[in-house]
Amino acid sequence: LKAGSKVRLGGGVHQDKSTIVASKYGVVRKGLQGRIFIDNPTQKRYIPSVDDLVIGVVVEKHAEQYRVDIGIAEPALLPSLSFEGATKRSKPNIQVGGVIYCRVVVASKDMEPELSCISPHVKKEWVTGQSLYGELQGGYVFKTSLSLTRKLLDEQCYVLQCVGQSVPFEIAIGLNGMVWVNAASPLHIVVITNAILNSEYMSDEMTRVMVEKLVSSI
Amino acid sequence: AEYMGTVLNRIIERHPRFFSFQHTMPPKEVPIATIERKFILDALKQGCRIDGRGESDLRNINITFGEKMGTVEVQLGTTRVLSAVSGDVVAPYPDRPNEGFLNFFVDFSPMASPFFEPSARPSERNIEIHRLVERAIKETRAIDTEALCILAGSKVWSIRCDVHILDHGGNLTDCVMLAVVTSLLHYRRPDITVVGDEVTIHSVDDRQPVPLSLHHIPIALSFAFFDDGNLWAIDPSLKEELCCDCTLVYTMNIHKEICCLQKAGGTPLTIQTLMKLAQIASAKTIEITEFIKQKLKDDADSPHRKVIQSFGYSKAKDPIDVFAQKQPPAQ
Repeated sequence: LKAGSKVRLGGGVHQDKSTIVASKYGVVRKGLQGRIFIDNPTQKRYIPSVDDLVIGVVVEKHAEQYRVDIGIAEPALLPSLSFEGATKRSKPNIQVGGVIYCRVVVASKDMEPELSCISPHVKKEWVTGQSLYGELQGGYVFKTSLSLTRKLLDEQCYVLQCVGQSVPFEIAIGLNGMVWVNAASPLHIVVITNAILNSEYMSDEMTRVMVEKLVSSI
Repeated sequence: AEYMGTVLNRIIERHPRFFSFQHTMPPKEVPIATIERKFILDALKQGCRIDGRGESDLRNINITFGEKMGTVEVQLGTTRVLSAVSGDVVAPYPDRPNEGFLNFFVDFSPMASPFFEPSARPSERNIEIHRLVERAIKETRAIDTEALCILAGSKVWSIRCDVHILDHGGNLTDCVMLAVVTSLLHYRRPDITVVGDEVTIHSVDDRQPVPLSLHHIPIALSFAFFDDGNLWAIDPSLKEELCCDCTLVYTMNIHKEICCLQKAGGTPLTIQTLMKLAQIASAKTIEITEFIKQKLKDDADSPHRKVIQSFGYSKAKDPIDVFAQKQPPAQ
């Protein structure tokens, strides 16, 4: 790193006066939005960091906030008004068991993490149903390991390209390991889910063969 | 003072987690999303399960034997169970001088699932599985406790089977039963000679240890029901188990005998369904029993096992002589 450059710190690194120190073992990588973090391929437990996009399940509903399970020790907080264009009179009514795609706003090891469905870029109201974050309707959600999630978020993800050539689908990937998939019929969704789960340790060639075999069953 | 009171109240309201005097209970079970539940049901209605299996397909069974005879680890898909059998010579109960002891201990280790709590008191599910295993083996006399008697009134075998659940991936019942039965078949107890009142327990170097005599091999097969009993699936995975209305466990052996039948959940089922599932369970039982026997045979023939047996494990070279006494020895 050049002296005087600005970097964002992700999971596994912290600042010690003027140096960046690693606090866990793994490979140093530069992730989304230029963030420096430590990659550990065997990790399955998510550690929240600010500006991560996660998928959570609502476990409790209170007057002012929801408690959302994102795979960490305590459920995270999602204020009821943290939706695009939400006011006290018009705010989304999400039930317990609902699946939410949202952003981590506060993530420190001393306080419980806080989430938000307000996006700094896409300014569509929640009422229209076209906002970037919010409740995910239909489809199926499942948990994978963190390294598979990062692989899926890559622009050149091979397994998603392979599957997308035969089966149209929509997908939302949470950095906490949760993945949401929606397609035309349950059989399609099952095929896509299994293709994603199987592709974790496969090479490109093996992935192509595996996807062909799965897709032929439709 | 009043003002301070209201300020404090507001702080306590805002941060209930820090100031709650009521202990917040962690969730008892994996939080399952509404769309997951709906999807599993929709997929089953179209005839497919989330892992691509058919309604009567079991997951892969993998059996690994430990170094000590009687230790077995069974994997049913992602569910893993470890079972270890050990034997000891003890005095029988005075009112049952001819009966040995056969005890099962099922441990729901917190390593299996973050929702298993390490309490001394067994949970309802723990008791259910424990009772199923006891009924299938003791009450059907798969191992006759009278056959464990060495010298009536003074010496009997006490066989102990410890089961540890290592990973909960759904369908613990079947996996535990499989592990228990395989470890009982795998276990070898020291050979014994009884001459009059003299009992000699031979060390493993002297005489080859002897297997326990199992009269039949009970195998458990679980079915999960959905949509008011209209849809069923064998060997449910974790998510399917959490979404189902009712489970039915058929414990059968290869002689087409039902050792034990257990139904949990209030969904009414028709006689046709019960009969059809009994047929399916019977066919699967035969497959699984063949598989276990093959695995046991492979282990007995493996060079690894032969090396362990030739070195033996006991250090004592002389056989242990035990003389019968008027009073049973103090435990």
